[in-house]
Amino acid sequence: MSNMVFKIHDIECSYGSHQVLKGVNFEVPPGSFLVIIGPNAAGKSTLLKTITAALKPIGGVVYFQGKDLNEISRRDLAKQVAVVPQETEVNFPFTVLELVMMGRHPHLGRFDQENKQDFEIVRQAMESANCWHLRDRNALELSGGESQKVILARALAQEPEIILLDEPVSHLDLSAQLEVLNLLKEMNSNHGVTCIGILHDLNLASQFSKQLIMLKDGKIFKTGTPKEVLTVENVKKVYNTDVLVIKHPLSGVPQIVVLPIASDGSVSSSQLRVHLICGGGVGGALMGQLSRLGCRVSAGVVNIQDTDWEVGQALGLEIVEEKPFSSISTRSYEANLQMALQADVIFALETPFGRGNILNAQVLEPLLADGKPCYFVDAEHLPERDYTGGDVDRCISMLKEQGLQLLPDQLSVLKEVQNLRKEKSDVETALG
Amino acid sequence: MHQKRNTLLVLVVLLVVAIISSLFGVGIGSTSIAPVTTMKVILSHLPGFSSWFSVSDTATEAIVWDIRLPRVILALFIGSALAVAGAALQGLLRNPLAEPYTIGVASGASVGAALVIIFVGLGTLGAVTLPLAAFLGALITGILVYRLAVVNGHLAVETLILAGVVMSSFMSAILSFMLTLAGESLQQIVYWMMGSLGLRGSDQFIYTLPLIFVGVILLCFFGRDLNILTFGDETAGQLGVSVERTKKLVLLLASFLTGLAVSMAGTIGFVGLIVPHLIRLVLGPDHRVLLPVSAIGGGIFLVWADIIARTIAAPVELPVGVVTAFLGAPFFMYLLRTRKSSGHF
Repeated sequence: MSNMVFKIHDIECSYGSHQVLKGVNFEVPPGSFLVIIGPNAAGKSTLLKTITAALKPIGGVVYFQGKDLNEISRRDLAKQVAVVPQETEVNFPFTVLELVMMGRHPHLGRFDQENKQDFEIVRQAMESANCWHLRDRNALELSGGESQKVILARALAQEPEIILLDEPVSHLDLSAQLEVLNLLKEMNSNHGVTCIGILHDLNLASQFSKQLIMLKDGKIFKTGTPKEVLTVENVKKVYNTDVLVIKHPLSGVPQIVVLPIASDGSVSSSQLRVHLICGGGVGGALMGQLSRLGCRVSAGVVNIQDTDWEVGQALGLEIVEEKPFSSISTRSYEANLQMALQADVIFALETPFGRGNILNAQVLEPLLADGKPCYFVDAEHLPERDYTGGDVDRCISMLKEQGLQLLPDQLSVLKEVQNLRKEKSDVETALG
Repeated sequence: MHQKRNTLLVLVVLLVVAIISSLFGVGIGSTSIAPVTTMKVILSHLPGFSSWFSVSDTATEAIVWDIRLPRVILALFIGSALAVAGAALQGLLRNPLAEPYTIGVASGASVGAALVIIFVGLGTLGAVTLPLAAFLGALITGILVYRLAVVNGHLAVETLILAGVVMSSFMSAILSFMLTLAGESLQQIVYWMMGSLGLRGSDQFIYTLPLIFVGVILLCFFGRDLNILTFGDETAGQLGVSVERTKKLVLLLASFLTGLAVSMAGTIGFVGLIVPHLIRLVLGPDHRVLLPVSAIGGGIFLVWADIIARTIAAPVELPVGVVTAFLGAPFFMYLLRTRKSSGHF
């Protein structure tokens, strides 16, 4: 237990009669990069305040290196733990160098003066935080990004083993956010500094943390790696928001994608069933939006590992799948046909066609024969994505005569779906 | 490192200025005395030098040693105490308008002093008891204000200012009540409240000056803590300052110095407000520089204010508080106008 940096044991906190933390337990091993996430009022800041010893919990104990945090002197704590707050109030016109030099305070006695070594530590801290050039500036006149870098330099000047961060990048623009977080990551991986922080941005949290703690209503909802914590279900339960979870193209960590169209609220008693014929990453956005509109979405035939397949998996859709990079087999074709026959409407999206997936175009013929409404999106540019020597193009031209309807883009797909839903619910109202 | 040497240089220069100002303070008056003569008189009283310097004119010697020198030294110490207390409180309360009297001790001291003037009078007994009563009044008010501002063992700065204002008003009410009943003593009380360096018994003088000296020196060692406290209690704690203990000690020392100053010379205004601001303007906000420089600067300021008070309407002597306010208020207005544009207030 004592090799843990922090052990948070059954912490409870209240503001007046309102209980904010309801029994939080976790341990922080050395070298962690732990990020606390959760919606507003989940208790993130309160939790961090108990770890910085700014707030005494009404129940439970925070152990720092095996000792009760409240029994450690502020000076001893400050020698090992530095805190970077969300914002810093500056009331007097100190120079930036003076401000960063204050980070040396815990290492100096009352009658000590800063010596050359302290100055050197401060200079290095400021160079790491990329703010040495600001040293003679008035700390009252810094921009948000500059000021946060200066505060970070002050934290580094404490030569801490642990840095605690309370939403350190909330007020910063994108490049400043990355600058601060990259520096912390570098301190963490190269110097073994333990970082514990709150981040509001789930995607940054996912990219920079090794471990996530997801808080909900004053309790830990889920802890684990970003992959374990940031799932569609968890985000839905904790933030009450529908999202897509996709993989970061470079690092592979989960990234949250929000869905732009909100539900119109008129959830009809019967769901419209929509089948998408897609593949090659053209269907993901539409899958999300249609699901959000309350449609029951299915898709096929999609190769496993295709982006459309991943999004469909993330949304929990019914998908007819095929092995990666393989041609559509007769069995998949049949399965796709059967699934499409269950749907109220079928949309074939702007997928590029080759010999491997020509069956995805040909499946429209039996569907039309069965009287299913079928739509083909962006036929105008089909020749440019037809790699079958014109076979698909000819097939579509032929199907037009059998009732295949054309749509220019995915936005018109959404409009069409809205109309169909309305019709369907009108019919049901008339019948019912 | 570079800065350290600069600070030392400033302190040495100011000490020299303080000595020269003191010689002027002793020399200027109804009888002019040359600085050299003053030096001779002072040196002749120092053990080991008396045989070297003898002053033939006993009248001059009496004016220098018994009348003017104690008054100048008092001005130096009172100015010092008020300026340091003001600088420390401005930092502690994170409020540029704070001064030694913000925390209410001055009005408490006035009530103590008024009680003595009304019931004892300004005779021999009064001269001994007045500073004591004033100091007690300051002490009691200070403790009350502190107790008011502490909630759950935490001293809230905003509450402290409010508590100070409320206690000041309360004490002023008591004072006004006493003034209406004071009758003949009214003038003496008002005069005392305006502040003056006319001595009220040299016995206290011996005990008070060392206390002020020690208080000023102690307060100067809180410079780095005060620097960090300006960033708020939470940040200060995270940088290793024992916040509550430091606030308590600084408040105690500042109140102690203010109480001593008021008990000796009444409520001399503006020294504790203006001097720290002037020095912050020139040398920056670093309390490790600000506190010692304010200590010397406050002394110099009050010595000159007293010279003006004694000479400008001679033979009538103005209360020195009138002079400090008369010099201080326009200067403060000037500061407000010029500093507002750069946003440093």
